[in-house]
Amino acid sequence: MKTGKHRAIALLAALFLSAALQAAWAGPADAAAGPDPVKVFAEVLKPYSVIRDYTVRVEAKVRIPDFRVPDFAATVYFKRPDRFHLETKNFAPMPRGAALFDPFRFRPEKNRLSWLAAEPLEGEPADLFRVEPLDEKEKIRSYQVWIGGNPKRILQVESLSVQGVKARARIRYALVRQDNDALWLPERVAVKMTFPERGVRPQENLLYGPDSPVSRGMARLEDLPSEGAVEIAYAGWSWNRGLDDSLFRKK
Amino acid sequence: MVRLVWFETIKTFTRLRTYIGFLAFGILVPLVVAGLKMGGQRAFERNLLAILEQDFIIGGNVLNGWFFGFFFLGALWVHVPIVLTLVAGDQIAGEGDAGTFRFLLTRAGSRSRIITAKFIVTLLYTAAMVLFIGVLTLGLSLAVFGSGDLLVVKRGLVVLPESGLPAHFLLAWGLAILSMFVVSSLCFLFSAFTDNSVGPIVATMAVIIISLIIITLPFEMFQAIRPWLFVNYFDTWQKVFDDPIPWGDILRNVWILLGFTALFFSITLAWFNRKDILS
Amino acid sequence: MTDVVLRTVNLIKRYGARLAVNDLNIEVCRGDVFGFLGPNGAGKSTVIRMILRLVFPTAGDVEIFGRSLRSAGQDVLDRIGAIVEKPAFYGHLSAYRNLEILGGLRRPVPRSRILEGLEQVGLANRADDRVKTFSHGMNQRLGLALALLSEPELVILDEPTTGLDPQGVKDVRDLIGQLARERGMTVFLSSHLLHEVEMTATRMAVIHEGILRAAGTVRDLLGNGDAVVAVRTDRPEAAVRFVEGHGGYPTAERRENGFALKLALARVPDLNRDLVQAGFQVYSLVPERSLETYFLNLVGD
Repeated sequence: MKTGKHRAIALLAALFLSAALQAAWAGPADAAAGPDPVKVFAEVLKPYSVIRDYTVRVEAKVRIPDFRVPDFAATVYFKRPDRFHLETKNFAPMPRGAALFDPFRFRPEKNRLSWLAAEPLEGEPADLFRVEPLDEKEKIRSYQVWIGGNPKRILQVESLSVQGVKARARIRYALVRQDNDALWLPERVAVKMTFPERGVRPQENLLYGPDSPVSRGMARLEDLPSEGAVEIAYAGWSWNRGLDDSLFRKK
Repeated sequence: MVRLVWFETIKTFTRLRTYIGFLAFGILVPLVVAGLKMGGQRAFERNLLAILEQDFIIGGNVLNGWFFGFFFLGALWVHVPIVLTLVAGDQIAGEGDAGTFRFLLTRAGSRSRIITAKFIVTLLYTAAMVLFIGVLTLGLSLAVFGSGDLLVVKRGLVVLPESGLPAHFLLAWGLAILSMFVVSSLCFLFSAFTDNSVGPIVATMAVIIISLIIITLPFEMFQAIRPWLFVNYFDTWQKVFDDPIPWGDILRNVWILLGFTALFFSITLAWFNRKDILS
Repeated sequence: MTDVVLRTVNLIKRYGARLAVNDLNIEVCRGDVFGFLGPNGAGKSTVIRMILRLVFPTAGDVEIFGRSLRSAGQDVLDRIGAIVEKPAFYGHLSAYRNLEILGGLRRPVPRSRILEGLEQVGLANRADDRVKTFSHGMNQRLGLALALLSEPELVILDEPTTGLDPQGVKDVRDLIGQLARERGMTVFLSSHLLHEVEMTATRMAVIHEGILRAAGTVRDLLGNGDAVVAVRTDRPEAAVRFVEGHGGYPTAERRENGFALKLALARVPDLNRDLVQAGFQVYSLVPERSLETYFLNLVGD
């Protein structure tokens, strides 16, 4: 009789231990039981898998203090897997991480994906995911991605660069038709940027006083503002027209 | 007076030394542009674009001809006075050294007319030199590096659309010419004190260099005298590339630069009209 | 009334403690060839520079054609042509261009006039050559051409024959005479070539250490004072001993055919009488009265 009781206790303990170990190994997502991020991203990105290249016209307004950049227009060219070319005569600073539509950026094989929480976005139900690029050379350390809508789309992306700059991009889509295809593609992207305290201020240079009229040839950009915004409008999408590799070669 | 100015123009522009500056910059500028094209741009890319490219993807031709034209204007403003003094320093001292005042002043009608004519030609040479450098640097840079918007980095970043840049540069050259008028008129003044044209050249460069040192050192005493030094206003041309353009500051500086020029010229006239010509 | 074209009035120039010109009063009349003499450093060039307003007097004034230089300014120089010391030109320009510029500062000079001026000084065939290729003598001639270009009424020449060969010196001398006689110009000539001044000047002034020592017509000035008397007798040695032993005569200078001694002109007849009465045959007794002697007597003491 005593032997049977001991066996039951041992079995219960083993089961409990196993469950505990599984929970610990699986991490918070499994522990919280959210959607499978790999499946979600695969579903979101699947429609765009037909894209081999695209061309789109962008018009942007930069509203960053101390960045007096005129509104500009540019043509964005994209070619798989991740090549971009901006064609414009104007000076065109496009925030990294969010402003340029890259349907292959969040591929599971290139990133570590995890579900964080269910977080509605402006009243729209959405799931919040964390995306960490596996490549250490990437300029973006991590992303937070809000996915929602019907069909499921990426509604918002917040990127954190290795320099500590945050860029939160709210994406609004339009259905774009081309030949027999139709894709939900970005129509407007509103990016809010937050710049960290650089912490590396140049020491008071004994040779140069403040506001010195002596030109130093090219000054370094040492002070960036704390916050800013960039608004981008997309128009004239076309994809798979065939773009030459030479377009993406650095001149 | 027109005839006197014409004669002084002939005397000045038929001398080889007048063209030393044109020759020097005519060689230097293409060399520097070539150096930039063959890899020198990388220093700019490091200093300027590297920070931006951490957080932005930059489109457009940033390191373009307008950019380098602007850079040259800022980098050469210590070198330009040297070539200006070659001519300005010789205007009066050279006549004394050659002994030609013995004919010139006895036949001219008045010393003031001669000095004024010489001064006008000195200013003409100054304007020609600055314009030559400006047009050469900008023209060559545009030809080699192409065009685009102008990126100006001061505290923060200003981007000036290309369409307005010709007007900006014309105005900048005009203000640079005005700044260099002060240099030439100071050298012209020193030239009146001596019969050796090397002295005015050295004296003018010494004044400029010492003044530049004073205004750049962040000592309270030096900063207090800064507004009284003409080199303090040398960067007036840069204000044209601000957004918005500080017209009030620019106008005030224009008056100050004109004032210095007029002051140095007045002293020259007063001195020379009473000077014994012993050479 | 003689027409005075140039007058200095109590002219003084001081450089620091040094008095370069001290209370100078001279007059140059129309038609004069006025010789202005003095040893080096006497103040001649300073006076000329003050006349031409290259140097400003410490005190006093210069009147040119009756107009005060102090009050009227440089306009009064319009009727003057001048060479001051060595003529200086713009070496990188041609002779023609130099005359065009330096001659045309007040009003344009016709091309024909410039060419005529070059012809007059023998430089017509070098009109287009750069002046830095010219010799010193050519520079002098070009200076003369410039001085005469505007047909001045008063010509001031400071050492105009310096560096010229003998033919050039003669040409300048002839030209000066021609200017006065034929073209009615007044010539103010500063030189230390005394015999040249003696041959051309009608009036002169001698300045020494900034002070006027003598002024007047050449004839009047040379007619007074001492002379060097050259004597030829039958027994020169004995005659020398007699003269030196005889009271009142200075030491004689022995010469090849006789002797010479410095003597006031008024005493020359006395010398002749004493020699004859002493039994000497006097072959000749010639007073060597020259500007050089006069000048050296004046400034040598």
